[in-house]
Parts: sequence; C-alpha cells; structure tokens
Amino acid sequence: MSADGSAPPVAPSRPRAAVLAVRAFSWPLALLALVAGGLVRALAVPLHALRARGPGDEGAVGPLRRYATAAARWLSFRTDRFPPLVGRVPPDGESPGRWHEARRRMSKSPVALAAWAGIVLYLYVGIGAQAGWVAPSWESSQPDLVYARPQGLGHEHVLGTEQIGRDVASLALRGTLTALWIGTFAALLACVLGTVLGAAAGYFGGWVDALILWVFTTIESIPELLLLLSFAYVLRKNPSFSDFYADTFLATDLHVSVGLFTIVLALGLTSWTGVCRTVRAEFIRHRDRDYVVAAKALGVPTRRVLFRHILPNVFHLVLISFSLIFIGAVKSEVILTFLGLGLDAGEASWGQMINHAKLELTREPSVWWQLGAATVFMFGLVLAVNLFVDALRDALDPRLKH
Amino acid sequence: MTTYVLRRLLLALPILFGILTVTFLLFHVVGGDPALQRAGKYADAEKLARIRHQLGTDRPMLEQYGRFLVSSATFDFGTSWTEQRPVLEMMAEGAGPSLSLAAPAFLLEVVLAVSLALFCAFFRGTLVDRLTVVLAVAGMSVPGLAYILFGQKYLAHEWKLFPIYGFEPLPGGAVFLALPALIWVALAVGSEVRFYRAVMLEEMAQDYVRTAAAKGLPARRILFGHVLKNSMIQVVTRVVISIPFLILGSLLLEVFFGIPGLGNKTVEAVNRSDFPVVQAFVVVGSVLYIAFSILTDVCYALVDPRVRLR
Repeated sequence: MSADGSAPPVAPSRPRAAVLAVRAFSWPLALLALVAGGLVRALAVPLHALRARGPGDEGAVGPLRRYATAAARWLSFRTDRFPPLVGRVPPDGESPGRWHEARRRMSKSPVALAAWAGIVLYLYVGIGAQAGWVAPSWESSQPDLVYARPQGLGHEHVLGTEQIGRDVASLALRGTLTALWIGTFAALLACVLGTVLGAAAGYFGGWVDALILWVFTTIESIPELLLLLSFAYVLRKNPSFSDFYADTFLATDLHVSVGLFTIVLALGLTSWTGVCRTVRAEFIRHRDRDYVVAAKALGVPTRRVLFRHILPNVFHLVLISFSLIFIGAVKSEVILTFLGLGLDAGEASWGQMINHAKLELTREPSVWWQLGAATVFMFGLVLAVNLFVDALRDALDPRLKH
Repeated sequence: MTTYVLRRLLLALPILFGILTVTFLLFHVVGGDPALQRAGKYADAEKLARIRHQLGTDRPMLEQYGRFLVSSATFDFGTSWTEQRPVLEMMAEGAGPSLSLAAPAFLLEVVLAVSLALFCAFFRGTLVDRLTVVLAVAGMSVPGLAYILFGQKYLAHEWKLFPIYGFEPLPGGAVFLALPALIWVALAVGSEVRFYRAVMLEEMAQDYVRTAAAKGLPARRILFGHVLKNSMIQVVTRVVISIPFLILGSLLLEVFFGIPGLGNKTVEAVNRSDFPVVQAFVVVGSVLYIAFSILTDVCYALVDPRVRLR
C-alpha cells in the first residue's frame, strides 16, 4: 500500500467497473455504516438494555445472555435483525422461514451473540481502518530507520513499538483490515466459483457434471497446503503476473498490494472445491422437486431457476462454507507471508508481525509484545467466526449437533 | 473386493492424469520462464538460450507436456536444480525424519482426542462437555506460529525443559522431537475432539445403546464395549486417510525445529525456486492421497462387516 493516496503515480485513464465498486465500498460505506446506523443511538443503549429487559425477551433471562444481548445490540444496533441479515420476517399468518427460525434460535444463545458482537467489532475496526480513522499513523514516521530499540508496553504506545519504531497497537489494528480483506475476498471468490460450478454440475448432470466432477476431484486430491503453496509460488515468480497486477491496480488509487492480490487469488482458486461438492449434492436433491418442475413448466429461464428458485434453499450451506474459508484464509495468510509468498515487509498484517517477531523473541530481554498482539488479535477473530459458524450450523439444522 | 479395488484403481487414472495436467499447467505455463530466474538479473540472451536448452524449455509446449507425462508416469522427477541430485532420492531421505515426528505425534493426538471425545459424549450437554468444546474451538483458533514461537521461547529457551532445535534419528533423537510433537498435539487436537465427539454422539443416539442401557449394562461397558467399538470404524478410516499428510510432514514445525523432513525440504525448495522439487512433491503427495483414499474404503469394509464393496 502506498503512503500517499492523493497523488497516484500514474493518472488513471478510465476506472474499471471493479475499481469503482471497490472504491464505493471503502470510506463512503464506512460513513454510512457509522452515521446512518446511528452511533449516537447505539451509545445510549447499553446501560438501558442492561437495566431493563429488551422488548424481544420473554420469561427468565440469564445474566450472561442479557449481557451478550446488550453487547450485540450496542454494536449492531438491532438484535431483532440479528444475523444473518438475509430473509425477512413474515407477516402474520405465514409460517416463519428457515432464516427467521435460525435468527430466533441464535438470539437465544449467549455464545452466538457474543461471537456476533466480536465479529461486528472487528468489522468496525476494519471499516475504521479503511476510512483512516483507526490507526491512521501506522506507518513509520522515519522511513529510512533501520532499527529502533523496541519500547515495551506503556502509556505512549499502549502495546509498545517494534524494531523500526512503529506502534504495535496500530499495526495490529491495521492488520485487522488486511485480514478482513483477504478473508472476505478469498471466500467470496471461492464461494462464487464453487456455487456456480456446483449448481451447473448438479442441475444439468451429464457431461457437464462429469467434467466438473473430474476437475474438483483432481484438485481435491492434491494436498491442500502444497497446492496453495505452489499456486502462490508460481504466481509470484511469473513476470507476466506482475505486469497484470501492475496494469490492474498500480494505475488506480486502490491500495491493493501484489502480495494481497496473490493470496486472494491463490486461496480463492484452491478452496472452492468444498463449496462445489456441497452445492452440487444439494442441486441434485432439488432438481426434480415439484417447485423446480413447476418453474420449468412455466417457462422460467434456466438461470433464474438455478439462482432464484433453487439457490435460496441451499444458501445456508454456502454461508457456512464462506465462514470456514474465511477462517482458513486468515490463517493461511500467516503461513504464506512467513514463507515469503505473501505480503511484503512494509505492509501491516498479522503474518508480517509474527514474521518479524521471530527475530525479536531471541533478543535479550525478549520482545514479546508484537507476537502477543498479533496472536491475540488473530485469535479473537478466528474464535469469533468459529463460534459463529457453530451456532449458525446448529440454528439452521437443529438435528445436527456438532 | 478385488474387482472393487481394480475398479477404483482404474477410476483413479483420469484423476492422476488431471493432477499431472494441473501440475504441468502450474509450473510450466503459469510459472513463466524458469530460465529467467535461473540466469539471474544480468543474463544476456546467449546465456538464457543455453539455460533454456539445458532445461528443455525451448521445445514446443506439447512436447514438454508429453515428456512430463512420461517421466512422471515412470516416477522420474529429474534432478534438483540446486542440489544436482535426483529428486526422488531427496524425497526418500526426507520421509524418515518427517514420519519420526509425525507418527508418534499423530498417535498421541488420536488417543487424546478419542478419550476426550468419549468423555464429552458421556457428559453430553453438561457444563464440562460445553467447556471442553469451547476450549477445543479456542485451541483451534490460536495461530500455529504462535504456539511454535512461544513454545520455543519459553518452554525450551527460558525454562530449559526441551532442546530448542535439532534432530537425530530415533530412538536417540526422541528428546528433540518432544516439543514439536507436543505443539503438534496442541495444534491438532481441537478439531479432532470436535469431529470424534460428533461421531460418538451419533453412536450414543443409536437404538443398541438404549437397549444396552435398558438391559442394565453399566455405563462403563456401554461406553467402552459398544460406543467406542462402533465408532472405531470412523477412527480407523480417519487415521488411514491422514497417513499421506504424515509422510509429507509439517511445514512449520520442521522448519522451526530443524527437522530435515519433507516439509522442511518443501520450504527450502520454494525459497530456492527449485521447480522440479516442488513439482515432484505435489505429484507424489497426490498419488499418495489417492492410494490411501482407496485403502480407506478397503479398511472400511474390513472393520465393518456390514459394508460390502462392489
């Protein structure tokens, strides 16, 4: 990421659609989320919520659950729109759908509420960092400095500083943004790829199925880490990939580094097989059901049958896969960065922090705070998403008990 | 059974072909021109051409593809670019150290995970059970490198409980393997406990458990005699399918503890841009995986007489 966003090195000729979309996603969205969401209102809620029971609570409520509800409400404003924010509340007389049931079950579980609160907190940190409000001065103030004695925890730098004088707390907060980008986009890429291929394979059957089945069985047979490693490796070694990267991103003011791009691409293109397998199996189950036959008989276009009629019925599985791939991506970033195939030294990421800390630990007295900060931050995010997936799975499919 | 295995082997052929194609595409098409990296920054055209000729990358793509298929089918992965010796020899050398860490650690992990899962299944729904599950999830969420770095720093360096680094063949080298094995278990046991717990709970819900309880069998016998025995099917199949990964070794643990196994060699090859080595690892790893997944199904039939393979 370059230091100065206001003066891009080359004037952008014509921004591509993807660029515009991502740009729209950055600070205006942050503004919208915080202001329109009503931070003011949110700040007023927790004390009140802790004292009195909320409108949605019936019967006896444990203190833990009440506290978790308050925390979730404080962070996400409305627990009646509890996650996932899909589906709708049905009008009277209509039976509540799967999502509504899931939401109801999840809002009764303190663990799920706490996990959701954690995720939202990380999202806020990420949005704030993207907008430049959280950890604005994470980069070194003296770029030429080779070594500065790391300072321990203290009031000037809450979590101390690292070897070139950067503030560890800022780095960890900024690393949250990187982790969220990598996790979100890798999982998005994998899920879109897996869903489209799985839907096609399951719905059409025949040679389309045979071909897609062959492709994903092949990819699944290659040990995951080796495939990911080789993929990231060949991408980084290929000069035309660097050219492609430079053409796509350098001329714009999107601060996507080559390492981030590689990781997202490598993770996305290697981890779609699980989604594809699940979605394919579900589409095979659904393709001969009455509602699909009826839709076909009414002349609904195939694309619409696939993605508007069948997909909503299997979407919960995609959502669960998304969260699992997200976790995998956040963890893999550390390994790839450690192997030199991920982010570069000047970027703020948990992988880079752990990588630097490797040397710091051997100093006397040892510098443990950078490793500690990265570990705790990463632990929090992965734990929150892990617990959330578990709760989601239980809520969506109460027969299963994981 | 024989026909089943034969059929599975035949079905594995297109997948093997697919793996070789993916590998070829990755390393020869996506990977770009290896001569550019081999020659260094200040190479002239003549040197580049010489290296290309030496590596065979000046031939047409299809011919290279054909050569690659033939040589892989005969398990000839060429010579390493940096060490100038056959890749297969390097792999054979690395498998031993990898296994000497992975096998005991994995065994410990499975025993621990199965016992904890039984424990959870017995106390299902209670606070102890939930606490164990939450702890398992928490253990899974700690980054692997943190375990390694903190373990090396505090357990080995500060408190001198273990040697920090090094390797000797077993049994003499057991002392070097203790800490990495411990970290292995800590890293892996969380997800395993969760998996086996789900298996055990599924068994607990079966009719035969209720019948046994109704007959008045003590809980100990139901648990160890019935539930554990029946869930062994899942345990055995999961163990068998994990063996290829044990041979391939653990990247991070081997690097940090200086164990000259396959994981270590993979990282070294990546750092030195040694194409043939990484490529061979991918192919051999996949072949092992396919072989052991067939073996898993055979084991399934051997352990569980209800399963018939046709």
